[in-house]
Amino acid sequence: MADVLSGLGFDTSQAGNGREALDLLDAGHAFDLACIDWNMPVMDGLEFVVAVRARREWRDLTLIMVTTEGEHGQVVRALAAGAHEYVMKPFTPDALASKLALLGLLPFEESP
Amino acid sequence: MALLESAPGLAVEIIATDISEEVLRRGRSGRFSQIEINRGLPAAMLVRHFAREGTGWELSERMRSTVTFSQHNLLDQPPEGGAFDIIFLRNTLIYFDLQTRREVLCRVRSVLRSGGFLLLGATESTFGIEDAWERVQIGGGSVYRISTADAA
Repeated sequence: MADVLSGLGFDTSQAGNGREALDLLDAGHAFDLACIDWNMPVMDGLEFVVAVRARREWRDLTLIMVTTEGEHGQVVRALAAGAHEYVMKPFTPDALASKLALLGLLPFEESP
Repeated sequence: MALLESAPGLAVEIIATDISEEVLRRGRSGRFSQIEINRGLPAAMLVRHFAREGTGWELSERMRSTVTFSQHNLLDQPPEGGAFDIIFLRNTLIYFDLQTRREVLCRVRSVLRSGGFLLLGATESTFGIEDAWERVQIGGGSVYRISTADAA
């Protein structure tokens, strides 16, 4: 995941679960994007999304679920909780790039 | 999907053509693999218009009913359906030589209503093929329209 994002020009930090990710945000680092797995110990991806969305100071943080979970109801729940986008694993780098372009974090590029 | 979401009462008819029966069959099924679904489709549209089907996703009946698939060779007479408002011809001309591109664009022009739009692939252009078109900037991209100086 980090390799794909680095390849697209992003600097990345990693967290092992939602709680660690919140700690990174609380430490004051300014992030543009969080890519979140669903199934994590301590605090899972959905809980993380809910926690981020409850904080006004992180209102501009883009949230993308990137997860093997791909049932219709789960996508609905993630979007309802405040995730901006949803990428299902396994995914190709250009799938993530196209979602990032949709969100304005990358310019659009097309391959036939 | 975008049309019906922004204008729910709009009567939309889409004619989708290809020369390959296999491609048409896949189109009619309305089924997409996870890889295809992941690419370029907003998740909000996914949940509104698709249902899980095995390892893939299937487009809703409502959306599928707006599309008619038929076999068509771009070098033949254009398909029935009268003048079109929008024609998508994306990443197809690249497979043809210049003369063939001219013939195809000429046929496209004959069934596009005046003021209607032609959408090509992001790296394609009508320039160098036919002078009859003008480019229109829309959002971050461009579309083509029959040049008003040339409208017959």
